[in-house]
Amino acid sequence: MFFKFILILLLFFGFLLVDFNKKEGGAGEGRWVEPWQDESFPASGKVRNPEKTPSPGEMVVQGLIGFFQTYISPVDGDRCPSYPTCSHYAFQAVRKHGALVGMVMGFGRLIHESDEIQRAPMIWINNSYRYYDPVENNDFWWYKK
Amino acid sequence: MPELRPKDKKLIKKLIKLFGVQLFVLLIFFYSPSAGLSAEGEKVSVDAKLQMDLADHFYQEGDYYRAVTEYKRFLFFFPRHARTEEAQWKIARSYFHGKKWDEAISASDNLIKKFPSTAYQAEALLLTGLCFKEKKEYSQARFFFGKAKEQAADAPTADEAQWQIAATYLKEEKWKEASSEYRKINKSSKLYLKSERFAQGLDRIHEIPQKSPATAGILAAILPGSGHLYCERYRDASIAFLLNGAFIWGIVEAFERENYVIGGILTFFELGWYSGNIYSAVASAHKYNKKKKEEYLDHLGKGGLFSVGVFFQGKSPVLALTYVF
Repeated sequence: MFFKFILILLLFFGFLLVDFNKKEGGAGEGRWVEPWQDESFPASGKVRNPEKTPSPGEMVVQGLIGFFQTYISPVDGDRCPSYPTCSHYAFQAVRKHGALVGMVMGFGRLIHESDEIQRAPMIWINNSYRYYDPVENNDFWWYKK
Repeated sequence: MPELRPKDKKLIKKLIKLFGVQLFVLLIFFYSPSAGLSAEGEKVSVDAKLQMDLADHFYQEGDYYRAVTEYKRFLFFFPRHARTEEAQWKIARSYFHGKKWDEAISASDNLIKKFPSTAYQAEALLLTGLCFKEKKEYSQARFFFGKAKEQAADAPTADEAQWQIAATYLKEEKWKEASSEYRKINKSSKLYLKSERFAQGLDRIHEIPQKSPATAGILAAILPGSGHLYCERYRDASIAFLLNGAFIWGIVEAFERENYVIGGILTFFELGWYSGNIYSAVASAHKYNKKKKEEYLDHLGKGGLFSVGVFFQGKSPVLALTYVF
């Protein structure tokens, strides 16, 4: 029974041991940054507040999202028409509001995506047009700062 | 001291001659007037006017970063020039247009401190207020707009400051205060008609169709999807209903067949869909309200409502009727 439990734990959370950020950084991978470049659209995969240490709950949820982004999304294909993508939106929401609220917002994004693309403005980013629906557009009514 | 042989003396003389010729050639090369010329033979000397023109050129091109550099270069090279005040003011404006609010505030403050009787004082205060408005620090913004209004030598700047005071209340959705501030705009101002339109429109802002976020949330909690339906988001409503329905069905089936692991996993995801559905419904109501307000205010700004007003052109009164269909 104990081994079964360990096996299930490894199956579900083993990917947390993988370093998803390993491929980032390295020589020649830096972005060209203009002196006054508009920073309102952070590059995909980056977060605005990298100094903040995530809580264990956040790490688990971000690990799940990282697993999806690294292993499932490349096979599944680029299907999210929004910017940030749904997984990145959930990642940012978890970073900003914690694991629980972030997850709820992530599920909410998946539900409201189809009507949002009729209303959201389009932006040209990563060589394609996307519907701009950031976290700020969905928490403005309760999160002021 | 031993005497040199004639052969050695000749060699030394030759060397001195050769060295002298080389020195002469080098001197001619370095000190020739053509050495200071560019490849085209054009001599460029930068004076205060040229430096300011270069900075203005960058400013007009919208390259505010370089404009600031050139205005600062002007201040460094010509610190006692008559146009230093202008350069300092243009630095503040460049920062403002470059959306560097804190730097613009600091540059405006510098201008006022260095030149207490500057002609740009009211404008600098107005610019500081605008920066605070952009930073969403509305009470600070109002403080500076008020000061700008007091200091303004001309009516248009004072009217602009008054307009901005009203605009900060508008941003804060304090409709009554905004309406009353719009009404303070001088009747002879060019902004008068527009401000009257805003004042009248804001008195009727409660007539805008709104959705209750609480109703949307309760509906979504009772029947997933109905909250979105209430907010006129029909696709979202069907997705929320189908997703929740499918997962609840799956959970019931899994537990009925005593498949507790699958049931547990489905319950975990269903909790996400259910709470996400409620959150999204409430957020949709807020978004609906926000959009309607923005549309209404946009309409007011463009003059989309009927308005009657009297304003003065010089000393003669002009009656204006506006209606945009």
